[in-house]
Amino acid sequence: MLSEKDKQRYARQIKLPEMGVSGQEKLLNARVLVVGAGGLGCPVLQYLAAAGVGFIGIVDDDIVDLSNLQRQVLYTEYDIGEFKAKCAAQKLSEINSTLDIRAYSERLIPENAERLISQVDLVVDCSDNFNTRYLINDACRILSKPWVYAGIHKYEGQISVFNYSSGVKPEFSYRTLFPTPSDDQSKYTCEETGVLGVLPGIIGVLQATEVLKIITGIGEVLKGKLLVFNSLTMQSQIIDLADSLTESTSGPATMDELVSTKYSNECNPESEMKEITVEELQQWIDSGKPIRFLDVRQPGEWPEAEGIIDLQIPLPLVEKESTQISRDVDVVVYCNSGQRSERAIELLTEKHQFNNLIKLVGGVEEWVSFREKLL
Amino acid sequence: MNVKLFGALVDIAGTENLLLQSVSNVNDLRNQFIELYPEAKTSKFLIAVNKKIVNENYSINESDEVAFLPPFSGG
Repeated sequence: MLSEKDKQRYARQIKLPEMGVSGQEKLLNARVLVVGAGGLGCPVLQYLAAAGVGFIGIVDDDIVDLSNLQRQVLYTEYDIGEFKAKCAAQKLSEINSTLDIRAYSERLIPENAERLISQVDLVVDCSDNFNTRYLINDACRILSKPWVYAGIHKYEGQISVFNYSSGVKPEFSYRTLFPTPSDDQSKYTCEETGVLGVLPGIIGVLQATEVLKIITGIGEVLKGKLLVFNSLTMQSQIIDLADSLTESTSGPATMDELVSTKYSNECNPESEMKEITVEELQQWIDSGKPIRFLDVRQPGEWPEAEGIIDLQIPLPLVEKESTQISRDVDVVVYCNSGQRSERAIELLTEKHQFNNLIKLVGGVEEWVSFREKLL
Repeated sequence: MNVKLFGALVDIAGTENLLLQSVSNVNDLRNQFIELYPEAKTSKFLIAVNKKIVNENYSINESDEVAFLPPFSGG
C-alpha cells in the first residue's frame, strides 16, 4: 500500500498508465545491487533512488578522488578521501529517505558474491573492469538473477541485459558474446583512458531505464540485443544477438566452483595502496582491533597526533630503519597531509615487501580536526 | 568494403570507418584486419553483419553493413 506521501512523491510516474500504482509498488518492493559507484554508478544510483527502488545495495571499495569529479556527479569536493559507497549511500538517503540503502565498501570478489547478490532481484554492472563483469555474469547465472551490463570507452558506450528470462529465447550471457577475457584486456583497464564526462551519464541513465523496465515489466528490455552509442556522432544502433549464437564456455556451474575460479585483478591489487579515513580509524580503535602507527614526519613536527602516537621514523630514514616496523598487525602510516606517508608506503612495499601498511587519508591534520569535531 | 569500428579498435586503426578489400566471409575479413593491424591480434571482438552478430565463416557481400565490436571495460 502506498502512503499519501508516496503517492505525492511518485505522482508523475504513477500517472503513466503502464506504470500506475502497481508499477510503483513493484519498484518499492524491488531489491537492486549496483556494482561500482563511479561514472556509470552515479546516475544509476540517483535515478533508482529517485524512482523509489526499495532496496539499493552499493558495492565499491574505491575512494573519491579529485579526478573523479569530472564525471561522477554524486560527489563534491568535500567528499574527496571518503569511501564512494558510503558517500553515495548518504547522498541517496538525502534524495529519498524512505528507502533501504546499504553501502558495502568492499570489492565484489568470488568470496562475497553470494552474500551480496543472493539478497537482491537484479544486479547493475557499473564496474570498470572485465574481471568484475565475468564474475557478475557467472554469479548471476548460478543464482538466477538478471543483470544489466554497460561498458564505456572514451566517447562510446554499450549496454545489454543478460540472464533475463521472460520468454522462450535462450538466456544470453556475457560469455555468449565474449567467452573468455581477451588477452589485451589489461591494456584498456589499467591504462587509464580518457572519457567524456557526460558519456557515463548518458549510458548510466540508459542502464537505469532498463532496470525500471525489468522491475515494472513495461516496454521492451534489451535482452538478446546490444545497444551501442557514440556521443561524437550521436548515433546509436541496436545489434541483435542471433539465436544461433551458442556459448563455447559457460563458466563455473556452482558457487563453490565460482569461489575457486580465478578472477585475477589484472591491475594487480597488491600494488594498490590501502587507505583508511579518520572516521574508520576511530572505528578501528573503538573496536579494539590491534593496530600500530607509524609517523613519518620530522621530529617535533606539529600538530601532535593525539591518541595515535607510536613509532616515529622520518621519511628519509624509513628504509634504513624498516626492521622496527611491525609486519604482524596492520600499521597505519601518517604524515601531515598524506603525501609523505604515501611515499613511505611505496618504498616499504616495493623494496621491503611490506603488505600491512595503510595510509591515513588526510594525515594528522584531518585526524586532529576530526577529533576536535568530536569534542 | 566498408567496416565500422568501435571502441579500442578505433584507437588501433585510427578511424571509425575502415575500407577493406571485399571478401566472401567474415573470417577472411577479420584476418585481413589483423594482418593490417597486428596490434589487434589479441583483441576480442564480435562481428555484426546488417546489425546482427554472426558466427565465424558467415558469408558476406559488398553491400553488407559490417561492424567490429569489442567489449568495453570502462565504467
